[in-house]
Amino acid sequence: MPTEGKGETVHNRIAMLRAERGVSRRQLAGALGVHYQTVGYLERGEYSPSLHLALRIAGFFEVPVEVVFSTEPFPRIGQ
Amino acid sequence: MQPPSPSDQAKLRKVESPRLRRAWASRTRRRLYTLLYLALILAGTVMLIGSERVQDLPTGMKFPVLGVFTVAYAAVMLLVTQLNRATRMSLPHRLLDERQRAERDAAHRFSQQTMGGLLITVFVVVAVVTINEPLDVEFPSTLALTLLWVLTMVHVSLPACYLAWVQPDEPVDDTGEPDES
Repeated sequence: MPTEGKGETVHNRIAMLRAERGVSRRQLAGALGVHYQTVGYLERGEYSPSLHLALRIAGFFEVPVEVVFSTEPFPRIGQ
Repeated sequence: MQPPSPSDQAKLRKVESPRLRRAWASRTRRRLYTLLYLALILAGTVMLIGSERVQDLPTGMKFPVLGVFTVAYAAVMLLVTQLNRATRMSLPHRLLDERQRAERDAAHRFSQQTMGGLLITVFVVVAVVTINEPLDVEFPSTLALTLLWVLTMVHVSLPACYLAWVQPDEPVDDTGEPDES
């Protein structure tokens, strides 16, 4: 799920982490103080978050930020 | 961040109602409404150009023509209100999150640049016409009105039209499943 813009690509694992923890988009959005559609756009790779929001997303899942975001594609499960 | 005031909550309820969001989620639909809106602006422009002739009409004919003007104007206002709601332009900045603010800022940048280009073009054209026109030729007042109509409508609605055009399909209200689009 890359976020592309002018040659910049940021991949994220928000959808996977959310599904893994059984958290809905609305719940995550509520905890982050953003609109649920923003979570959807992040998951679809159509929006790149600010550093502040990225850190808060990582904080919500209690993982380091590089577990959620990467400039390289994340390996697929089974690879 | 402070919790929204009762009036802000009312604005949010209006714009974020699931029915409204479902209606405007599709970019294709938003683009169709934008095109319809632009067509109405164009129709209004043509009607204003022809408005000089309304004065020459018999009294019985004036009222139906004015009625058509009123209906077209109401349709334009209705559409621009709907587009403002669809793109959340009707919400104050403080009620938006960082993505929505970034999108609105981009829309305002685009609109500011476009309006700048349009105003400079109008200025140059009017200056050239004024300098070159013979003294006995008058600039028709209906054209001034038409120009004002176009400039006002572009200025008022361009950010909403831009957002309606470029925003991707909205993610659905979630079921806990990641979006597949």
